[in-house]
Amino acid sequence: MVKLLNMNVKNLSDEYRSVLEEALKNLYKVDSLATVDEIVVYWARNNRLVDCILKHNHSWNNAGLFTAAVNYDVEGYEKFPFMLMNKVHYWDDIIPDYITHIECFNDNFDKDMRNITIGTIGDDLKVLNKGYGVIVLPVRYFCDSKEESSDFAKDFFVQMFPKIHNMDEYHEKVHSLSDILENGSPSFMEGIRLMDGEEPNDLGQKLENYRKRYGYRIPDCDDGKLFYFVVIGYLSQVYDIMIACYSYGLIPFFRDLVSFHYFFMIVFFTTKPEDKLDEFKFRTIIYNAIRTVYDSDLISNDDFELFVNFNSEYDFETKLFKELENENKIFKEIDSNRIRSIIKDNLSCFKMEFDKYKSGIIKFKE
Amino acid sequence: MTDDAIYSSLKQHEKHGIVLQTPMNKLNLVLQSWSEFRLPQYLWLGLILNKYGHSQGIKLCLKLLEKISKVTGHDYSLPKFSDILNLSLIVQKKIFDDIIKIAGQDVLSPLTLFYTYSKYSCFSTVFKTSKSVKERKDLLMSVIEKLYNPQSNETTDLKYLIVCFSAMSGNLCIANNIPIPEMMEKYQTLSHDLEEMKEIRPIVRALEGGLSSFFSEKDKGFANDFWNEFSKLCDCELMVRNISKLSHDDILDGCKEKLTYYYDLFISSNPLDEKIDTLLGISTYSYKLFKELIEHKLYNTISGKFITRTLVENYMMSKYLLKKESEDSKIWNKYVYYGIGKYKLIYKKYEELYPDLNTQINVENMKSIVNEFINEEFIDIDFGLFDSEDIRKKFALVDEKELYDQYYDYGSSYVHGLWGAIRESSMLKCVSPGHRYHCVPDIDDQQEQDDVYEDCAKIMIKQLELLKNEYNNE
Repeated sequence: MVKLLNMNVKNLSDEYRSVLEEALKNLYKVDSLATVDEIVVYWARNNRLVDCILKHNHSWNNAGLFTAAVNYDVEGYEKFPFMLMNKVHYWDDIIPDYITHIECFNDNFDKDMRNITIGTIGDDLKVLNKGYGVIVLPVRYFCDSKEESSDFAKDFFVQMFPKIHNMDEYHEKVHSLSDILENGSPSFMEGIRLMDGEEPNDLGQKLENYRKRYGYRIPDCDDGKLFYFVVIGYLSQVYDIMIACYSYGLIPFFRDLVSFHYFFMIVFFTTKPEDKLDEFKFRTIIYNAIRTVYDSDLISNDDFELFVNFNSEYDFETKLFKELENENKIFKEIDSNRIRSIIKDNLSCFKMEFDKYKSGIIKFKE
Repeated sequence: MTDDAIYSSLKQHEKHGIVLQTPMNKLNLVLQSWSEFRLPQYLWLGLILNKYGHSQGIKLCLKLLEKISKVTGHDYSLPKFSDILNLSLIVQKKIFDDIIKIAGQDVLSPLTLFYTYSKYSCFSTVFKTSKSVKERKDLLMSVIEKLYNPQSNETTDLKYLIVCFSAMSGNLCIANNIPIPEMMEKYQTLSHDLEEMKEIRPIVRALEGGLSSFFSEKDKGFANDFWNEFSKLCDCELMVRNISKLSHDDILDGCKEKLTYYYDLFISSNPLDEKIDTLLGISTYSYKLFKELIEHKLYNTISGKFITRTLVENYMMSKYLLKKESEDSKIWNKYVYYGIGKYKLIYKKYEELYPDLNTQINVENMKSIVNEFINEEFIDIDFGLFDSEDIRKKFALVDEKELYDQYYDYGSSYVHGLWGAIRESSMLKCVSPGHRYHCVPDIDDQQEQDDVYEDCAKIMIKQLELLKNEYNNE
């Protein structure tokens, strides 16, 4: 059965590659609906197979999902920390989601989306051609939990405003920056992030910066609406990822650190100080901590294949978790600095052993 | 299949060696399914008919087919979609434009689920749609549901178009001295409710059936691709047979009471009597099975079928031994040592071939049973049938052929895992036309079996009746 499943995974990837290659050739043409429709139809046809793969191709909480990303950059360094944990790895393909929306937007946005889609297809093809075992599947697209995650996000959003009881009240009362600050909980507002790479400024500056970069997406809206639009977008996305991961026993690897920030915020505000984190939350935090601790120059891109082979024998994850065993304490006693330090030490050991392996000083059994 | 379908009786079958052959199979006909092989080729016309209905739909389709036949000429005898998709892109475009002019752009758009851009760029571009996959699939599903039955009115309309196209292309000629052309002419003007149509419809279907010989292996490939892709888009719609739960009169206590009587009788008066020992042993085996059936509520289970079969066989064997004892006074002993010999074979194999194996087989226990009264060195192993008589003949010999016909063969299907039993008990019908009404394994154990209690109780009573006839003083 494993053989049959593996064969199906391979066939699915091969067929998807052909579909994407064909789409890439034709997406530049003016009339591209028939082209992109083929991708949607492709995944609709393989709906049950994707479900079957996600149910049976990995052990529970032992597969990584590269997500909250526009693409899986095979030339970037994130693939190293991504491959350091978990036995099976998936890239949460977002193309079907994009193309479902292509026809819905105005001309300007359609052009943007079309260009992003072309870029993402190109990146997907790179993963399919040399992804070293990363399986391309539109995981969240299949989970189809947008409605559920949107409800969770709204509930959480309202919790950020102690004086507000529901979304209607928010829209009625919160329009300006001072409305946000007056009604919002300071503990939420202090750490709120609106986009990647922003300085730790005050909220007004953050809103201003966001408006400068992405204002065209929501023109003519006040600060209250903009704040809602951005935060609810992140919260919905993170809940969507959490539902997908909970459903299939996956551990999310957030490429977008702002999304991970929202994940952590949800965990922080929904966990009692005296409770222990469940396996999913703890592993997710460690996985993403590795990503933030990992030095992008640790191992050269050219050595990626060697790195994957080495780790399959070295087993970084087992060694790391042996040391972390006692660190998943009750929530208020978790020492993030100590965790980061353990990860750093383990990465240093890994690097030392890897260098020996590369130079032929150590060899694993054939 | 309809409820009033007439099937040949067993007498009408012919025996060839060990096979009973149906009258139809004697003719060596090649089966070619309408729904499986031909329907996917004509679905495009079915979509137009579905949109416009019987009268208007036929009118528009005939107009369209006439245009197509002018383009394709005598080369194409049937309006197969694979033929259209194989035409040059220019000709395809012309035909598709005609379809749009006559029937509208949206009518064939559901087919973009199969004929996608990379292979069918012309079709998928001309009939591109913003309809979701689900909308397209649902429409196709409803059309296929109507056309799946080879004899539905909708299917007959479609078959009528196929016949007309064949005539237009000059590939079908009908002699003028028979009234078929006249009937065909009238078909499109008549409503399906009219009495007259009852005569015309079978003719239309028969004519189309005759044209199916134009189908080749390549066409089968086209149809297979269609079904493979469509089936992946559809969900199973499982149908579980509703089994009504019966209440049961508990006769278990009564059985126990009767067996206790015979047991006491045996122990007190004839504790060494081989016949009563054997007969009571068989009856107790049946009773224990019957008790398990009741106590574990196995009435609607596969195990219930096994139990029924064993009860029937035990009853027959008891009757057989009683009948034979007048001819062979040692029959009871023979029966016992036939079974002990079989046990010896099993335990010896374990002992000699698999000495360290830990299974349900308790070798030491079996060995002691085998050697219980006679040293095994004096026990032969009989590989044949007990008393050299096959089971069916044994049933006949004790005038219980009916039990064999009614229960034993059926139960054997279950015990041996023959497909009829597997299908009935462990597979569910999926009523989705998109899955061609296939069957799927019932892994959630939704399907219960028909209740076996009444049958088992009837046989158990018969078993006790045997003892009564043998040992009760009336």
